[in-house]
Amino acid sequence: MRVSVLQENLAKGLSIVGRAVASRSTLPVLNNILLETEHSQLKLSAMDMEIAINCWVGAMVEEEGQITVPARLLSDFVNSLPKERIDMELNARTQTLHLRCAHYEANIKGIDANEFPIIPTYQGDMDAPSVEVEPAKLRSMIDQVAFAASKDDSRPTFTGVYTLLEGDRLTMVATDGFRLAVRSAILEEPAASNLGVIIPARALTELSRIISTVSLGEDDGVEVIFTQARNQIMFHLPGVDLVSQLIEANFPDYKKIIPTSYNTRAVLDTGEFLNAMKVADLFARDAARSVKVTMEPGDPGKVILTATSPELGDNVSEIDAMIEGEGMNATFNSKYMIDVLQIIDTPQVAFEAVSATRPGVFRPVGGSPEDEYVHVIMPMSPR
Amino acid sequence: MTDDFRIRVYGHAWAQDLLRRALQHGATRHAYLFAGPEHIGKTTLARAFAQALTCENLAGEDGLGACGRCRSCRLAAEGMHPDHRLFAPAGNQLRIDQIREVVREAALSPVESRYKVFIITEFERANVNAANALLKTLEEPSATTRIILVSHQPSGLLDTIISRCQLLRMRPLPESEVVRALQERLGLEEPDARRLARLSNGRIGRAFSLAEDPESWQSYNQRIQEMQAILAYSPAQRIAYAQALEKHKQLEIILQEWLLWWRDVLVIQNRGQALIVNQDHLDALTDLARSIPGPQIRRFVDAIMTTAAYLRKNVNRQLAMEALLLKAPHRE
Repeated sequence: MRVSVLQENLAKGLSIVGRAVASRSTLPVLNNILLETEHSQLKLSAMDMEIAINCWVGAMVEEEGQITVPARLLSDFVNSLPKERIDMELNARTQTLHLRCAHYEANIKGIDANEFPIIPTYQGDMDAPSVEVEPAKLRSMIDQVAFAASKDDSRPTFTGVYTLLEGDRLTMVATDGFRLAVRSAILEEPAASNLGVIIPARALTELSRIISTVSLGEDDGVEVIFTQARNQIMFHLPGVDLVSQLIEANFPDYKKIIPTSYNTRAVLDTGEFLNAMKVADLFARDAARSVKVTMEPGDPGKVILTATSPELGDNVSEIDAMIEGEGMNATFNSKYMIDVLQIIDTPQVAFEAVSATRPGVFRPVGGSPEDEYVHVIMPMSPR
Repeated sequence: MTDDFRIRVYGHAWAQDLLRRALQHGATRHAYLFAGPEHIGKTTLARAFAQALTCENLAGEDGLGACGRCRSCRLAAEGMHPDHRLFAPAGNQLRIDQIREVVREAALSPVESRYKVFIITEFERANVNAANALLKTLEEPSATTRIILVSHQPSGLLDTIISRCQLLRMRPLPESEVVRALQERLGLEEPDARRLARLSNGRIGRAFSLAEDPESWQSYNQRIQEMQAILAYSPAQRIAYAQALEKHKQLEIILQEWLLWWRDVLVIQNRGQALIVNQDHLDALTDLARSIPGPQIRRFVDAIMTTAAYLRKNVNRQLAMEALLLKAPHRE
């Protein structure tokens, strides 16, 4: 292998794939990045047990070849180099990669590329169900849902985001047993078949990060490919693929959890609600984060947040609101409330409740009708 | 052949047959427990089974049926297969975070093969919490997950673990099979192979390490020297030595070595024709045969066997070893 790349391009590529490098793997080769010449590009790949990332970097290829080298060392070295051309040459016999850039030179010992797991790579026609999603829309879906997935590895099903394709509707669902986030969006072109998979939440958060890092053109979309046979999902962007393993489990029937009616509904300013909740959280932090939410009908109606800490003191905030239905109070976890209020992107939000012991529901108000978002939070038992 | 990457399993033909048939009929179970004494090849069988589970052209009638030539078989043999995960106790225990890693990864689809195979060795070292953390996954892993637990003390496992696995009880190999394996793999001469086979008592892993690893041979010889030295020890010295021995991880193996040693002495004493296992120490053996009366040796041999049985039943190891060493023959 003999190839030349610009330091800036290589450094950027390495930072993208670097997120998929296994941190402490029993498989030594997974601590490495795979470098592979492909046409007039250098392909970088990394993977851990959950996700894999391929990234293509413009290069001058004089001789084809491939090698894996330690990710950490390569990235740290490349990041220290001046913004000039890097020439790389592989000694196939010793599996050592020679790098030269300006006055710097290095030999990095690698592991044979054949030891590296096979990562599916995007090909134009993949003979698998696929859909195209607008990058900004996909990002907002991920950001509104993925945080609600569980961080507890002992229940792997809930560490994933249930992703459903039904005709022209794409839906993402995540829950940790205490809250549930559901977001759906209408696709420009319907999918050929309906299906549902559970994607590790981490894969989607990384995808969201990649979408925000790479420079995309106006018409560029993210192609989502369900490689059913291999039980993987691939997200293809110009110059980058992210492949994720799927969580093989049955996702619970989430629709049953979403209340179909309410006795009280409050519509209020999202920012004010968030700020008042953050204030309440200062006091709730020491008290299992429990905040009492009181909805008082009237003209105008009020939402009152009360937090009491036995040691610190207490706090009451009032927010003007339009209240529909009867008065009610229920206790919720302040962190969960802050999490959801932070990602609701409409100026107003609706909060609905049936009773103090039933889940509360958040919905954005006045958003685009095709981008549906529902967030359900279980109440805490009042103290 | 350099392009044959099959993981070879010596002995355990019935287990290999059973697993191969399950593989051929696509009827492998989701969880197995390979139980049996140490060093008889349980983990090797588990690795070979994993190799066959992920082989790209499973067909052979040999061993478990893996082809030994595909990419997957090669990675399996090199221990580099991304869908094979081997977990061993970190230090003295299988920790709960190791089990959590299994639980998390077992939920994911395989990277490049049909199955994702988890091998957890010395499972008796999982504490109750760690074992319980595995229960749900063990009962209902995803369709593409296979879990193989390996243990030499299945009696120490929770019933709830055992009942969720297909249990294969493996035994030490017959001497003839160990001899054949040593000849085949290492090209040893018949008498050398037979002595090692006898010394290893059907524990093929031990036979291989004695044959291949000079250190393990050295430590064996050192223990033999020490055993001769204690014959002249005072009771206090013997107790001190028992305390040092008690920390040894594989007391049972040491007792087995002693048994074979004293057997050799008895063979010489009675002018028997049987094979002398410790051929290298013929002078020392003959010397002992002359100086220590037969009945004393036989009493000690009985004591060694009783102690070995006690150890299997989890008695206080130090007390057992102290009592045993005080019964060793005395020589000035």
